[in-house]
Amino acid sequence: MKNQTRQKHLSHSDFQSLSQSIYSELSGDESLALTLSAEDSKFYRFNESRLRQATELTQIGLQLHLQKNRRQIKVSIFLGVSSEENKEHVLKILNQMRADINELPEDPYFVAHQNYGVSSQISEPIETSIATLEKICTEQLKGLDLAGLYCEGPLTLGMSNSVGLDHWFESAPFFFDYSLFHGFKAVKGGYAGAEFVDHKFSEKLAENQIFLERLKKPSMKIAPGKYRTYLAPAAANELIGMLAWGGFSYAALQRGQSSLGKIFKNEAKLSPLLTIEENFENGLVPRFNDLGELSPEKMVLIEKGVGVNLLTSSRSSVEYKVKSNGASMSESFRSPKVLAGTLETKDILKELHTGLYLSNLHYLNYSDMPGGRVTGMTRYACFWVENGEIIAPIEDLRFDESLYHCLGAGLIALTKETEHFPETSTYFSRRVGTSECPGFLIDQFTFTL
Amino acid sequence: MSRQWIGLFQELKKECDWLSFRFLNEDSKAYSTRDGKVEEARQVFDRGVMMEVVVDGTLVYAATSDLSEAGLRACFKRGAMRAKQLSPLKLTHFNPKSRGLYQAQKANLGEKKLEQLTTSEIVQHQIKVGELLKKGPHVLSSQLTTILLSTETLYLTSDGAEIHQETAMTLQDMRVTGQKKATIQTRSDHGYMARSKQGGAEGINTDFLGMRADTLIRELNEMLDAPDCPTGKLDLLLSPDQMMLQIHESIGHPLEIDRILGDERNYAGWSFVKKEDFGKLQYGSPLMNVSFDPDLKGEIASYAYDDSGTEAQKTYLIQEGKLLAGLGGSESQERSGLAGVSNFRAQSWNRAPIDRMANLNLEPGSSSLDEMIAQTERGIYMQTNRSWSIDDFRNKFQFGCEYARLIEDGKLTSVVKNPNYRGTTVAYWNALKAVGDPSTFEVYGTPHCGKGEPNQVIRVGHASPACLFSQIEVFGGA
Ligand SMILES: [Zn+2]
Repeated sequence: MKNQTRQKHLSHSDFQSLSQSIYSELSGDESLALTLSAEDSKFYRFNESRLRQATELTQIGLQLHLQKNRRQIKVSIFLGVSSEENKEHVLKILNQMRADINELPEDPYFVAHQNYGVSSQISEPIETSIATLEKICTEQLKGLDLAGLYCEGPLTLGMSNSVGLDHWFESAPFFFDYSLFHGFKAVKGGYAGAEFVDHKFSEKLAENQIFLERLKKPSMKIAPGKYRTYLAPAAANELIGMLAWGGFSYAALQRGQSSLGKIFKNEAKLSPLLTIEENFENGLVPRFNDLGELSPEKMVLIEKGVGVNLLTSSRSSVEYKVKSNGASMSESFRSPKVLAGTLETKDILKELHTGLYLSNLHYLNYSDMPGGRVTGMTRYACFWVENGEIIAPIEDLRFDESLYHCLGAGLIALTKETEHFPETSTYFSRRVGTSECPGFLIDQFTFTL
Repeated sequence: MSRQWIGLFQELKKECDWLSFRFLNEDSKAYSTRDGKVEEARQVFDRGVMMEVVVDGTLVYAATSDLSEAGLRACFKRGAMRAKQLSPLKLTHFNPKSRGLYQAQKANLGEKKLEQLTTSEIVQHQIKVGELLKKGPHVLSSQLTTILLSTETLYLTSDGAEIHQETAMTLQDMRVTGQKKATIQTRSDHGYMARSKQGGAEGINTDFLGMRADTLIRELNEMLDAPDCPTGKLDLLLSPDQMMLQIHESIGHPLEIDRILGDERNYAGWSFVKKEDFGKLQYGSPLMNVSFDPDLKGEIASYAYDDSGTEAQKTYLIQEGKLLAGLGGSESQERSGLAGVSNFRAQSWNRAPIDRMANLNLEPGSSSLDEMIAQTERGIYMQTNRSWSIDDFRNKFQFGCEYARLIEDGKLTSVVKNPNYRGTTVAYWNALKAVGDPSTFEVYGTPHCGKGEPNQVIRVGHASPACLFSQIEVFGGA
């Protein structure tokens, strides 16, 4: 029951002709970049395995980035599909920007638009039929209490500039991000990809239900203290996600806002088991950044515990006189990959022996950012394990631990199997992104509440 | 705005069981400078429409940025088709009574128009203050941001509601980071974007920023020399710029009725508060009075009508410590049978409204700041949020502040760095032992409260006096 549906917003050639018609209006000292971010989305929100809110959205966003005499300004607007009206709208905004840009001082770390090349990546959208969703609700979720979000639809990122750059990325990923509940306890589930296949979703649900059964036992209250702890890939991925927040940014390091300062100043090392890359090899994330530069397919950030590369934007390269490496302006990773270890799935409980098995973590924050200390909560399927056997689910615990310990001397093993996590963030617009992470076995992980 | 579409609305409403249009125009202009140099000038002109299309008792939200007649018609058609298809899947039947019937025009654009502030005025001033900050000893970096915001909405419904609202807002942030030997600290002007307020250009007081810069530098240097916050149980005095976060995370979110009903269980989380707790639960000590107040002058989330067209009024959620009402709009009130407020709010035209905080305040008490310090034998006075984390049921929290001083024998003494504290919600609020008087009452806000699937951020305001809590677990940094 699949239909191929074209996007209802702008095609690559629509975008190219809009861009060219605007660039032809520029004067010699002006340069302009246009970034299109468009989506035709379905957002179906579920509670109690029923549809709570459904939103159908057509959103066509365009950013204009004007440069003139080493000054620059960015304006984001929203468009329709009529090329005449769009052109008129964009020209009107361009004229407003021309007035504003003259009020700004020269930018000391100015990076001029350049032609970083041409790229195009298109995956055909495959729409899931409403009949499939109906079948899920009436058959597959029968007797289950599910809350979550089903999201799908065409997604386009396009970028061009007046000096010849032209990137296009079109994809139509879907994700079903959900939780299954038994009373106040839940397991986290997720199914994502390009095409929704009923039986694959059924398999996911069956896997989730094995954990849900284990949550039906009464919860144990665990006293605060230090425990040997297994972070399943989703939990480990949350911890690694904290490093997007200044951890690998060259500028953040210079400005005292890095949580891995000691690593990149060579004052400390992380575990030799840990290698982290920015890795675009799976093709799920566009390699072009917000300037249109193509990032390398693969760059190692931490190699066997040693800091080897920081994400360095072209702006930082001008300011700090270092080489840039295709990082975005924010210098946070876009496609992180933590390399696998050697711990076999069948040996996880045996190696954990006695301690905590944590499937997910929640609401992480730095309790001391320059000190590299992170706090957060356990969430979803978390268990007390004794002698390699799951004893009972636990009441939620708060942890507060130094990254230098849990990713350093405290890191005992990484699993051989990794998991891929699609980006499910939908603030302002749907994001493309992915991360890959194994599970972590950690000794003496600190729980405080 | 968009009044040219009233004719089309009248036509399309006949083609479904019930219809609303919510047009939104929002202009934001953001200027940031770093270390006394321009960093970024960015503007957003957000335009679009959200339709609520009801067919067979099924409500579907349909939104588009294509504001041409063809765009609006296509959007309506998609919504109506989907409402019919999705009807068998729905959780609740749409009740038109959950939407208001008002015809109104409301505007709060402040005393001085935002347009009177020019780009160069803002940027040049920030550069000047940035240069001042840069000269501070041990300074690594500093950053200033100003955002000017204006929004305009028009809400039309099948039942004749026609509500036009306009609001102006100003938001500012200033922060400075310093390093002395291995110690790195950051001091900000009351926390990230905490100077978020409603009103016009009068909200930007340029002289004041310069004065604050001196204070930030002085306090930063105290922090760089300070020992870590001690570990142990101390009486905890919180300033309003930390109370803001304490109220937000441990009162606001758990009282959202859509959370209590389970809508957020897959993302933001559920709540320890249950339906049967209303009217019974002693949430905090008898000194605790919490209000939803959509009409406090200058507080950023003030409004007359929410996105269901329901009139917003000041409502006490907690009085003398007892839980009375929840943060739920008309739809949640109908689903839960609980008393609520008008807080059905969407981030923008592209999102469906959900239960949000708006202005959520702790009412002043009767203690002066000096009295609260004087009555404390062993305590700590913490200011300005820098870190926040709480579990998905909103029980176990840990919050960190920028700046703190110990209180010993009724007097403020030495500065300590990396102050953190933790607790569990109901026990914590029941440990509230003094509430500051109106002289300690301050109004802050944040543009960044995240919630919902699909995700939405929303602006919320929090006003509070300083408050004293008995015997709280505190500790320091790495
Ligand atoms: Zn929030």
